[in-house]
Amino acid sequence: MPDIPPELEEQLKRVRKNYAARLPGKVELIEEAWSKLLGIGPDREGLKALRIQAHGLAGSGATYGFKEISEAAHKLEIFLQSLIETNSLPTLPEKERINNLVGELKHSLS
Amino acid sequence: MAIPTLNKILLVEDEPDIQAVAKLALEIVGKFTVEICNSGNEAIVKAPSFAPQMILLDVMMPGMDGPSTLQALRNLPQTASIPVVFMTAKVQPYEVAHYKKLGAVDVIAKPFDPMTLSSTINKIWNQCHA
Repeated sequence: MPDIPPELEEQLKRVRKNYAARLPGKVELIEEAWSKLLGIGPDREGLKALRIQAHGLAGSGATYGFKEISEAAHKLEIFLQSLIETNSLPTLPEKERINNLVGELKHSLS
Repeated sequence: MAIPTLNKILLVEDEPDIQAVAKLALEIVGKFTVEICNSGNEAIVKAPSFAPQMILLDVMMPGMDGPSTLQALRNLPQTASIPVVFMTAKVQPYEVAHYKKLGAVDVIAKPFDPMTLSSTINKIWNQCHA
């Protein structure tokens, strides 16, 4: 394992700290987006937008070492992807499943 | 024939938090000059003037995704032959084979290690010129 240049180590610490501080807000945005979507009736475009948000959090969470959050976001992303691929609107149990996955995501913050 | 030194890299990535780590790693460890694009569309506009030697391209982006961006870059005379490396979490062998079939020279798995990202890229660069 090569030594980390001190400058990189310092900068990585700085951006990680900054990322950690913004994580609750990122999860809140996903919660809000799902809540809004649920209010107006989730359509394909809305689900795609939500999947992109979950994908972004899964990727950035893993990059910054927040494994649990990344995995929870990835589970949400995969489920949304499966709904998008079937090209059908979510049924009541599927909406419930998304609720649970968003809940798991929130829980992974603690 | 000597392999040219890799200096200029274009990073196409929609997630600002991933951009930040990649840029730090590429500039501090690799000493590369890095230009960032937030989308495939931005890459199509910026790449011809920036003239990168290599393009790192996120696969899943809103709007124009990685494969579509690669296709568009291949259709521009200024960027047609620039090596493109996909960056993605989807790195099953069949997925990597698919990306290479689309024209990517290689695939870097996400999450990447900031410490080894530059050496991985240099290795790919050298393989492109072997």
